[in-house]
Amino acid sequence: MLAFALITLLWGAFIALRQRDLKRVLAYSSLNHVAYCMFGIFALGAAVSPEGMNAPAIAVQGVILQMFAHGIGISGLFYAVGKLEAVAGSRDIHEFGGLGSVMPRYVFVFGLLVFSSLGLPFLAGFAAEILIFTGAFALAPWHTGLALLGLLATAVFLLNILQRLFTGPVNPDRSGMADISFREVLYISPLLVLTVWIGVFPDAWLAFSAPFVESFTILISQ
Amino acid sequence: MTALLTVIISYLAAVVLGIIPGRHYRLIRGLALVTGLSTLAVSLVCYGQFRLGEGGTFQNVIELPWIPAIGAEFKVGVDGLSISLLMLTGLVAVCGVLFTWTLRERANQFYAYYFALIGGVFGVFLSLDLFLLFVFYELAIVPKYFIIAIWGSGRKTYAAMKLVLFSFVGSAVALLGLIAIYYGSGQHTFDLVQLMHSGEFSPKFQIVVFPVLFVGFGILAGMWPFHTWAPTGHVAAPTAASMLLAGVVMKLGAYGCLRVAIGLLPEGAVYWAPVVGWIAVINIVYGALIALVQTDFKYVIGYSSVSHMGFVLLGLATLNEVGLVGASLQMFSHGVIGALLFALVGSVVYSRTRSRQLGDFHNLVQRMPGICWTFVAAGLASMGLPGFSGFVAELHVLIGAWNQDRFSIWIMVMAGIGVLATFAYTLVKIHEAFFGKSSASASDEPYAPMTLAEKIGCGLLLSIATVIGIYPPLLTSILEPSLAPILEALAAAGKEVF
Repeated sequence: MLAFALITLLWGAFIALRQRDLKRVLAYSSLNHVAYCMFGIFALGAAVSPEGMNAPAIAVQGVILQMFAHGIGISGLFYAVGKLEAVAGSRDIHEFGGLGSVMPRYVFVFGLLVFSSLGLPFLAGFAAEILIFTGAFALAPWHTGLALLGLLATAVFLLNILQRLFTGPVNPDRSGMADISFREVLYISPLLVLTVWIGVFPDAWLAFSAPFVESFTILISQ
Repeated sequence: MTALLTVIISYLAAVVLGIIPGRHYRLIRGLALVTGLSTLAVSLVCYGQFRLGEGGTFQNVIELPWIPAIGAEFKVGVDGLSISLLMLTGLVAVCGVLFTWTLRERANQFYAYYFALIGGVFGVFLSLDLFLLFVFYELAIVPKYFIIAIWGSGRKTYAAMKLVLFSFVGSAVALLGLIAIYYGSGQHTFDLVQLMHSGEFSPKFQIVVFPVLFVGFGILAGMWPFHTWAPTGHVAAPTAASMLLAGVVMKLGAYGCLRVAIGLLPEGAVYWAPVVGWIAVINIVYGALIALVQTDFKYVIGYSSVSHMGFVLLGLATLNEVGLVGASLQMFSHGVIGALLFALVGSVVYSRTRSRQLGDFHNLVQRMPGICWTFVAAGLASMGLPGFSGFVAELHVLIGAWNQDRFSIWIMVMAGIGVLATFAYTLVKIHEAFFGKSSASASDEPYAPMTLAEKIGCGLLLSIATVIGIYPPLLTSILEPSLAPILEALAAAGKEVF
């Protein structure tokens, strides 16, 4: 089952790399991110001797946080892509370029969410993934090693999007696009605040799920 | 608290500079210079406050709870090794701004990424918690990508992606090792100090995990055969960034190898030392030989960095006091000299000749005499001429290697060939660049002399290299006591293994 999660993880990333439609990219990136959750869960099943270790608890905490972080991240990203489509009338990543100078506010919002899902420290995705990996390592070290390299595939496709959209020459047809307004930044700001908050102080969030995780790990160790 | 200011100032500057509209480029570069100077000043204060009597312990420690669920803390502090690297980072940060003085295009964003990178670097050198160290290590990767992809030259997007992927692979492998340490110690902590003092790692565990950590960090140190990101990335990067990359970022990797891999897993280090020694001399010779055949001036310097980092790795592999001090000195020395060489080639010479191809240069010795002799001095410093820091550092490393009985004689032979090859490429390339004639562009019109910012930058770096070369105790006095705990652990491990 671990191998299955690993394949999903890599497959999601590689397909996402091949997509031109931004919404499809996001859809496959979801696949990739949910695979990290599966990985954490299956690692529990593969546990050889979990007694005396807090590893299963860490993994489950990571899975829960990842579900939450991914929920925030992906909804924010779909909102952002929807916005881009509304302004530009297209979702094809090849049609954009150099947005960094055209729409700086938009790039900030989109960039923060992408970096969270890429697993940049101090953002939500990192906190979740590191917990999953730390927990899973004690349970299945070799698979975790491979999954860590799978993170790389995630990094490649996300950086690829950022590179295509935001750097390089500006597409002349798109140079006059309006940036999102401050009000729109405000609309999406709860998601951004949560992303940073979870990333910097994951403990506040882990405390919520701790009682459940405790009873759950006792249950599965029986 | 003092030491942590370096990180706080850098990140604060990154945010502030990023917000200022790009058209105020004079204000931006002024603020950037002030930021660089204040981080340098803070690191000098740390140097002044450092208590030599307690040199073996970490000072200036701040400890805050962070993620108790996995035992990660926000814990920072400094010892002699980290202070030397903090000063290096501050120095290169200042000079990077000086050599970017004319930048106008999106200056606000450039300095935002620049100081975000520097903040991450400071953070790594300060971290006393492995988890925190990893966090800063990762944070330093992303700004590099944007600096190269936006302000770079040549195949910049390719180079940026290649550099970032190598960095990510390195940090993923290192993370694997760090997590293994977390469980292997049986204490479920990432606290570096606690792990050093009471971490009980079985010999088998150390032998398995040491290469994982060493390779993970070594990738960023330009370790052969994972060095290929370095020349490509350095060449494509804008000058300030290549100074930082070669001068400081490569040291992040070497620092991780020393502090984490060798410091926590001494028995693993003793077991693998001969292999690391071999890889190190391959680094030295291979880098030097490739530098010898490059025709692009910046690639010459790029490969010379790989070669010089080989001396750092060789010093680490000796596992004795002279060698480790040599490796730490070489980190500092190459940081200064490497940054100077990249500044000269990428900015000072290029901005005048508009070319980096050695074949295009015509009679530069007469057309830019000041720059030419500055480069000659920098080249000789890099080659290891007595009186410059490079000589002291490489001499320490070679003596250390000689004292290591477990090195085969061939490692020493290879190191000797490496030194000769370094002489060869340095002299040949100085000759080709400044004393050569080109039939294609045979003009004798003199170029503009160095600007004030360039003079200050070159003067600063060259004088530091000279001061350390003439009076190395300025650094060795803080390095020796701080390396002592690692050496004690290594001595104990040596008895265990044999």
